[in-house]
Amino acid sequence: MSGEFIAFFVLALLTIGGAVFMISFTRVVHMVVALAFTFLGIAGLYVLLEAEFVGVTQVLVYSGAISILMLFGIMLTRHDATEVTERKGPFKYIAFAGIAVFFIVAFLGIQSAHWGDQQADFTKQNNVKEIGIQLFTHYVIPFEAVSVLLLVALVGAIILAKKEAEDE
Amino acid sequence: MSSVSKWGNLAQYDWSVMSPEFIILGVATLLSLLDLFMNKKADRRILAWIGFLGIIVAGYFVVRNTGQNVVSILNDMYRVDGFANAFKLLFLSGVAFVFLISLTYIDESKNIRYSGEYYYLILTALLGAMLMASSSDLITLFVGLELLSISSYILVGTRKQHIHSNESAFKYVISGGIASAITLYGMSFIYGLTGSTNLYVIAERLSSVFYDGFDFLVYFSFFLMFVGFAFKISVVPYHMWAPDVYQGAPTPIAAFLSVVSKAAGFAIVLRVFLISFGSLVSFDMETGQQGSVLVNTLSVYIAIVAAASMIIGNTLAMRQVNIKRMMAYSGIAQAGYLLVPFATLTVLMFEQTMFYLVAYLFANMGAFAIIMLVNRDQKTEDLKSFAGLYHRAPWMAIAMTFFLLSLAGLPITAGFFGKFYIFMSAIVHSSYWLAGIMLATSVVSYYYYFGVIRQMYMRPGKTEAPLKVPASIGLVVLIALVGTVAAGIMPDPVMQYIHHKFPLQQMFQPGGQ
Amino acid sequence: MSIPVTSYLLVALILFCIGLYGALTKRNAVIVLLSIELMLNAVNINLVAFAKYGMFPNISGQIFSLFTITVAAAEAAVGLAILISLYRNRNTVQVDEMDLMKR
Repeated sequence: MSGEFIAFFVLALLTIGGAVFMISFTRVVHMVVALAFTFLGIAGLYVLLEAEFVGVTQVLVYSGAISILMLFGIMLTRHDATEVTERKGPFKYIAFAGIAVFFIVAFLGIQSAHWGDQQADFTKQNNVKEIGIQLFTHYVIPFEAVSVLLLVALVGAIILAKKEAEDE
Repeated sequence: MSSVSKWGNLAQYDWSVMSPEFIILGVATLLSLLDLFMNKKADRRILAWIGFLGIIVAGYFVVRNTGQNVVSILNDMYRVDGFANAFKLLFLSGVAFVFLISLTYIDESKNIRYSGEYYYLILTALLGAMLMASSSDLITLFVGLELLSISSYILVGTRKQHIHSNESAFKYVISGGIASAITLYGMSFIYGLTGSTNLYVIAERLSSVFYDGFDFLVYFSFFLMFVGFAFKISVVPYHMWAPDVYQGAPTPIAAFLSVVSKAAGFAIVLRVFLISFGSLVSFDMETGQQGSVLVNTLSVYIAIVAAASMIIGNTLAMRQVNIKRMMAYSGIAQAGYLLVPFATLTVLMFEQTMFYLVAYLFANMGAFAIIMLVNRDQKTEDLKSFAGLYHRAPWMAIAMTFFLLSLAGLPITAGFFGKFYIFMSAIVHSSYWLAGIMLATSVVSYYYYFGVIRQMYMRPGKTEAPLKVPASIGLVVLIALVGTVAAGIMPDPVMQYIHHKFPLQQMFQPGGQ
Repeated sequence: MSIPVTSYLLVALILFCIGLYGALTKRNAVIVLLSIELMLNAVNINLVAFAKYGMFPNISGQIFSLFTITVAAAEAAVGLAILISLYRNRNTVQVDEMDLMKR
């Protein structure tokens, strides 16, 4: 039992620590790497919650694809980009204050609720199989719509990022 | 064994009710293939006409679905009801207008190099909007919303060589991304409280958890979702993106965003909140009175958002010199007016909203068609480009006058009755302050709408040369003008038609299995 | 005794707030996009935690989170493509230099 607590503690620390480092680093490349750790930590949390398939997907999509995509984005634009100065002026503090208020409100809301002890047991059935069955029966319409969405993103990314043969 | 029965499950549904979506999807796929195999230099206008034809056919199937009973597929994952049909017809006619405007706008050598992609991305955006209108499941609604959003991000950025277009597309992605994250955060709490993504199940369980100490989280998720959706309808907490994006986007896409995308936002707002929060009842311990949470508590906040949108939209519109920015601020104000029926929740709220949306569709599409024509001719988006339009193209100037009058809400146009009905709903609900703000901001709006009219009739233009009007633009303006005036002279038949053909009650009947 | 759902929700809330702060204040456009991804990740933690410990726990939370992941990836790709086409024209990725349209 306490093993679960230790695992949660380490993973939560990794997750939040990566995000905090992302905010405070100055080199953009370091920020992306810090966030990759966050994504890995989140995958660990999913496994802890018995959502193995989502966890594996998280590693594939976020720690893998998105981090690399963003690194490519940095390399294709400015290699040595740094966040020397953040946005100037009072905006930063206003944003900080607003988000702090939001945090406190949400925190109190979450704390005050009685969530009860009920929990689902996903260990009994095969997680992947269960998700697959649901996805191809009950959720088949959004599933097909997502496939259209991915196609749209593909086409869009190509036509937007494609380099033109210099304006004839 | 179980897999066999699962196939039986899927086959048992009446998938033919989805034919409008299938047709749009099929035409989009067909266009993408044709575009791939066509000669690079070939004229892409044929693709627009095929798309246009597809929209008409899809519209026919939607009309065939109207007046029927509710059909539900996969436990309301997809459903056809009056609400969905009304919005789908609105989207389809809006996109048909956008196609006609685009035919003249697109110039392969100058602005949009990928016109094939441009056309089918509009269709996929339309598909997303249609899904948003006819589902009662959070997942499908969200996927539809994102399909619409992502297609629109790309469409805004299609004028690749144009710096403003790139910049506005990027701002649009950032604002949209934050908005969808906020929406989802709200949805995740709703899911956590109810364990379901089906709106009817949510409605049922929400009222039970509401008493178990979760009332704060219920409100919290409502506000998160509302802020996220506010991005799509561009009302106050989330309106800042609209002027920049409209300015940078290709003009037909600005028209698309201001009408179709906004209407889709209203579809999702009404559907999600009316079903899942509509039956929520609060119980006052001291007085022992029961009251609907939506009517008593939440509608106050919606009314405040509506009032703030009217004030901010109309006052900032006065200072604009760029016509597209002005239309964006005007659109923020119009969205504020459109929220009033939702805040007052009278019996006829759906009819009022629909009538106003129809009036807004005609007026805005007509106005954008003329804006596109004038801006293209004068090569500037300045308000001054309208100077002397009356002497160059009198009919266009007269039509534009009607559209602006309709947007301002003055008589013998559809906009007048649209505003009138909404105004009356605020009076009936005895929200006199809201009615007062509506009236006052409408008067403010005359200032900038008449500014354009003054330019057209009284200011001398740079040139007196007659403005050539292409047939497709002429058609858009003609239909929009006829619609605006007809609905302005005979509003009653339109209201009756909406009332009888698209009954709102159908929305509250769970399809259930 | 297992870990209460509140702790997961708290982790998600902290991530959401950090992501929101980053999206609003960071100057580098790539980091702004990443911050949005962070916010979406927070949503996913919520969904998966609710799928196990929510009021009515069931698997649809996990499925919802899969949809979110897919959509987020698509959004990131499109955002980056737009950023690259912007960079070609303007040679900048600093958000506060994107101010050509201030009235």
